[in-house]
Amino acid sequence: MSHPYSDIPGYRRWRSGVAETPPADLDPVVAFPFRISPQDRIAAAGSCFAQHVARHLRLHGFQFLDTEPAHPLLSEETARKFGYGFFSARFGNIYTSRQLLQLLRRAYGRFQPIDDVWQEANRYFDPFRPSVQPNGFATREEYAADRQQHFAAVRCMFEQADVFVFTLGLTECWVSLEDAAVYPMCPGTVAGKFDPRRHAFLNLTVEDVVADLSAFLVELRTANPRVKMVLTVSPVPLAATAVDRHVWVSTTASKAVLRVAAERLAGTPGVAYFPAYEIITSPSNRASYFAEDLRSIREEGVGHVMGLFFRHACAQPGKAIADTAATAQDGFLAYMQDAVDIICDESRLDP
Amino acid sequence: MWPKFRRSPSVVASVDQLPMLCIGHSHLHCVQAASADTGIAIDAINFWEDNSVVLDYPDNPALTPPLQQRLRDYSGTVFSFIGGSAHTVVGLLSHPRRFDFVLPEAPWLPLNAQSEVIPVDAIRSLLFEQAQPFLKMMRYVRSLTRHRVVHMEPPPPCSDEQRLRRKIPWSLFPGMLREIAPRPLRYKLWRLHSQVVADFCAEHDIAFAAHPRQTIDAEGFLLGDFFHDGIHANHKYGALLLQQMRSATA
Repeated sequence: MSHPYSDIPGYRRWRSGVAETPPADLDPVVAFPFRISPQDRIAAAGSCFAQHVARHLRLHGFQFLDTEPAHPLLSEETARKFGYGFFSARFGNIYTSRQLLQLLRRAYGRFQPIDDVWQEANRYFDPFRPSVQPNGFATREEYAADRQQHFAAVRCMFEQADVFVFTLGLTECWVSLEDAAVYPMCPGTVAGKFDPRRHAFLNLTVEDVVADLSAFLVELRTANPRVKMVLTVSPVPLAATAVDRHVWVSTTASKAVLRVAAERLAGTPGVAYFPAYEIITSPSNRASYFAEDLRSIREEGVGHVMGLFFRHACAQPGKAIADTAATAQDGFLAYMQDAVDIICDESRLDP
Repeated sequence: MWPKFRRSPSVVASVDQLPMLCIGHSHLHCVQAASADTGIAIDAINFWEDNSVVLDYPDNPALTPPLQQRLRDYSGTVFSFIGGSAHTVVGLLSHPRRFDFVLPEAPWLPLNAQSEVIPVDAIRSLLFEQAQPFLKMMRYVRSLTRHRVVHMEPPPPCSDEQRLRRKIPWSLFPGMLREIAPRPLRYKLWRLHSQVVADFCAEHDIAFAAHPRQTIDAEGFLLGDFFHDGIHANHKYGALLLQQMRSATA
């Protein structure tokens, strides 16, 4: 007897698609709507899982777009400490769709949050990227100069990217009651001071996320009509929830909202969904892709995700290259040391 | 990088008081020259002239046993001229990717419009990393004496770019910008380097002696009268350091 399920391919059945497939061979991608060429410039932003995406793109020789790289004089350790190289610009984690939309508007001067800077003991923190600068900026002047430079880098990223990969992380966020500016972290956690008269909790709905990303796409394509967007959902659970319920319930609620929103947007031209969330959280690997803390993602899991990304989304699979620093130092210091040594030598000969 | 071994005549002067013990690198040279001019006695251990006395550089720099003993036996203030070039290495010349930063003690100093801004704390880390072997040596010298150790600040930068240009071995910079770094940047790097070293000194029971005030112009640059080669100061500057040192031991 014929029915709609009688001739479906194996990936559409649980038994053949998941249960009887070795965990490492799980491939829920099946088809991807476009191909990324080796010449395409790929930008990445989002929650912490997006850091892995950025790192693997770089390691596999893709044109990872970094418009705010660390200066080559800085050591790799210093560069990472100061938030360079994790994403396509030095914006730190962008957890929510609202934060992404507001970043674009801030970069183009269309939104200027009233909460401009957090000052603590003569240090200055950016409320919208409080973690990128350890202990904040040293002066207000430095803060202003760095942010101006940062916005230029963000504009450059939006305008130069051929593909923009965004990892949706959270729905829970905190907003300013003055102008609805969304913070990446609740004020008072990393920096700033929480004030219930000025800060409010917001849990984005599917409609919110779809509206944010739709508006983002329209505004992004005004600056860059050719850009394609890849959406993923971070498999990393919430560290804590502001809702009075179990953190696991809040996690599944958040991820479900994000997943549905991504599903809706994936149908629009130039937008694709990549199932990183499903690869990591699939029962087939029995949670083995989660580290001891049951939040962090093990490298094997990231490798599985990126291997499928290269296979399905890229025109060429990419070739692993040496694990080089995101910001390689140049030879300037060595040249300078030689020059200074010579001057010092001559100094001795010419008292 | 340490220079190849070279030995120069030791500075000897005949005065009644105990010669001041000076230890360090090339910035010590101006004091040696001034000592020869003035007859003020110093006992100079210049690593730049004789690097054979330094062992295990750069990871765990130490001195040869006879020199260790010399420091242990010395019963006066030890003057350090160790290092003092990290700011020059980082920013005497323009990097192909021009950079600048805001100096917290003088945030009004101009930022070069063509340069990218690097957080001052990251520049501080860079200078600290560059100075690391010398800071280790200072800490080591501190451990060898129970008497006072005074570190002498390296001289201020020169403001005259044309004068500096003549001193640069440009052939060492293939494919790089051949320009002296902007004056404000060189000044900021010198100030920040001095802060890094002064902070280190404060943590390790070492006094920090700032440059002689009469050697700078209104903007804080080294007056032309004290110019030697763009990195080091001359014997006149050394003479003022000798005065500072004598005051410190009085």
